[in-house]
Amino acid sequence: MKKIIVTGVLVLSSLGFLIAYAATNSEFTDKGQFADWFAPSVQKMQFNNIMTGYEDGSFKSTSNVTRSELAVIMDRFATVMGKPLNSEPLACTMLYAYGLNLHIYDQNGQPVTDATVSVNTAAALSDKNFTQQDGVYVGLGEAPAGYYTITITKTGYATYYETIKMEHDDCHVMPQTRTITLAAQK
Amino acid sequence: MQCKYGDKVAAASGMPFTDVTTRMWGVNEIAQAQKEGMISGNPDGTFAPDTAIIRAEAAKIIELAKHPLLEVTNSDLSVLSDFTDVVRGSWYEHFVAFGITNHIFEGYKDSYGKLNGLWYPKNKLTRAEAAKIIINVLGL
Repeated sequence: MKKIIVTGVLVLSSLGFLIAYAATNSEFTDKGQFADWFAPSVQKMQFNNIMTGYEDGSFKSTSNVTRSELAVIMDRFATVMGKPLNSEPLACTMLYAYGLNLHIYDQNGQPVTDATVSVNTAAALSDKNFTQQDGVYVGLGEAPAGYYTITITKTGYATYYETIKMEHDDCHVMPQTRTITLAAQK
Repeated sequence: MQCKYGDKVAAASGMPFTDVTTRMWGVNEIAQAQKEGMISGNPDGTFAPDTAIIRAEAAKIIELAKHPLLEVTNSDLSVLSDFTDVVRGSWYEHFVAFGITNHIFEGYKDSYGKLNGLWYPKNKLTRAEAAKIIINVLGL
């Protein structure tokens, strides 16, 4: 993918966990047997889906860990290492959030309205169209994880290309807010 | 897990161990963890999925999931002098030392709250211990 370098700033912030989660995890049925030295750790393991307990709702803190159990734990550990960690309970809500929020300005810091914003990706998308108000363009609601190439065109400005990675947690796309400065056409 | 988008693709035919069948609980995670280099089997090609993990093995697997081997093997072994059951020169001594130095493992206390001087490397790891040390490694 050809990439044109554009003067300007890119600000990336992840708003994902603020939006996607609310506290509703259930407690283990044998919680009463947990000692102080490990009870908070068990809870954090549950929040992060690394150790989720048994089907009957118990954790069985005194049971031994088999090799296959540790393999499963380490696989989840690897998954968790690649993304922000939850110190709070993890549960999905039905809240919808746009995955990509682009704030587009010109070199004078003025919002650029009516630019054409498009994304290309291998994934099938139901909503590829960005809506715009006062230079803020939103799109990719509930998009799958993957790489997306953003193209922004506007008469009088150099075309802006950028390939970004969209992350997905267990429930939702992780929203990103980007500030983009369009360069005037030379 | 709830409402997962794009579930991890099952590690199709590439099962690396002779005693792990595709119908077993955790089979995809075992294959994946092996691919990620987090676990390995025995020299004879078995994995012994139902065998309990001992504390020394768990220290190795869990520490190396986060820290490079060189960082672990460079750990200061002098902290081992507090423990009478950690064999010096053993394969696991660096994992114990690194775990203690980095507060991943805590020692055992006697009924007076005093460290009892034992690390129990050959003891089977409990689920409570697993939770504690993994959260310690993750720094949560």
